[in-house]
Amino acid sequence: MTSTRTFWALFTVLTAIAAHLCYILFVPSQQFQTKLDTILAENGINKLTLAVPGTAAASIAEYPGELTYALCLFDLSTGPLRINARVPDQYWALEVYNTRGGTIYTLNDQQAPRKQFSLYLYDDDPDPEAIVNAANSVGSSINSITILTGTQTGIVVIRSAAANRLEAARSAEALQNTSCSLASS
Amino acid sequence: MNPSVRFAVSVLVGVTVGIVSARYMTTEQSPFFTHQYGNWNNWPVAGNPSNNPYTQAKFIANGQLPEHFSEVLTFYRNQDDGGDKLTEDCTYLMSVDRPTARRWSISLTGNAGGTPQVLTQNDVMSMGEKVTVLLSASPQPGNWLRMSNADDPRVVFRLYDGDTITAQGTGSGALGLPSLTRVSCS
Repeated sequence: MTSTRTFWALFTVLTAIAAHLCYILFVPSQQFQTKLDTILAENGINKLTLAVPGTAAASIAEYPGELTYALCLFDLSTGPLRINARVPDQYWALEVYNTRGGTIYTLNDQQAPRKQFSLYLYDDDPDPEAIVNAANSVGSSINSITILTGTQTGIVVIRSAAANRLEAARSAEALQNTSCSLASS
Repeated sequence: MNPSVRFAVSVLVGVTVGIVSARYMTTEQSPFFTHQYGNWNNWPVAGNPSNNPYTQAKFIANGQLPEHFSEVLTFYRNQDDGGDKLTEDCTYLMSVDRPTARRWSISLTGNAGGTPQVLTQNDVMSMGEKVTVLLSASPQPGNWLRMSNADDPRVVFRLYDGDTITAQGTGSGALGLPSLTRVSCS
């Protein structure tokens, strides 16, 4: 009798552990992927989109009262991505994420070399020389930054200050003049 | 008890406990992966590529992409200094020494959705180094954050340039986190 109870108690505990791990590892990432699919269907791939209210992209804007958001879902399977950034003369931050929400790269207004620069995103390449050559072929210069993402798909998010109308207007103007596209296009 | 009934009960209990515990560990009140600074909570490895699956799950389950902790330090609370849950039936006084961060904000959110009420370093009026903000459902003199339509109100305090701030120390005193005292209730 005791061994039967122990068996079922152990079985319940192991079931709980399995359910716990399955939930943590799969449910949130699946929910997030569904959200990304919605944004992708609305905006397309390798294209910068302003997260304005009413769009699917706006759902990632956690603090819309103080920041303007722009995002670009990328897919590097057909080549490197180029972001031509024109940034406002105020707080902004650019972050590159993998599709699980982990940060790959971050840059802000105090770290950037210029108010206008290019960012090149490459998937990992086994041959470092090929990456350098590819960067040179698409016009790498002192104003450009090269990032190895380690993943073919991800999201670039640019957040820019928008705590008042002046900041919001500056951010909107700068982000409208920022582009995200395949380097070959 | 019939073995098939035992099996069903065990699976039901196990799955329920597993999912409830997983959801709890990704809440802001989870003591396992948050840092507690008094009644303020913070997810210290938000946005880090090597963060644990619980921190990842906390953010992406809500469709959020966490800002890297070197960019912004975000602190949350849903209790006053006395440990009571915030309610829109009460008025609260938030007080803080003017933060040294180049940008900071105080916002009020709730589960009811909508745009959060926000005050930034540019919005607050203060005569000295002390910044005070009243949180209330009715209009208040001075700096005021409106608590309305807020089911389970939550205060969010954000300090930009997280790496600079953490370099100065991460104790609650060094971070200069605001106090939040209840003034009155209707």
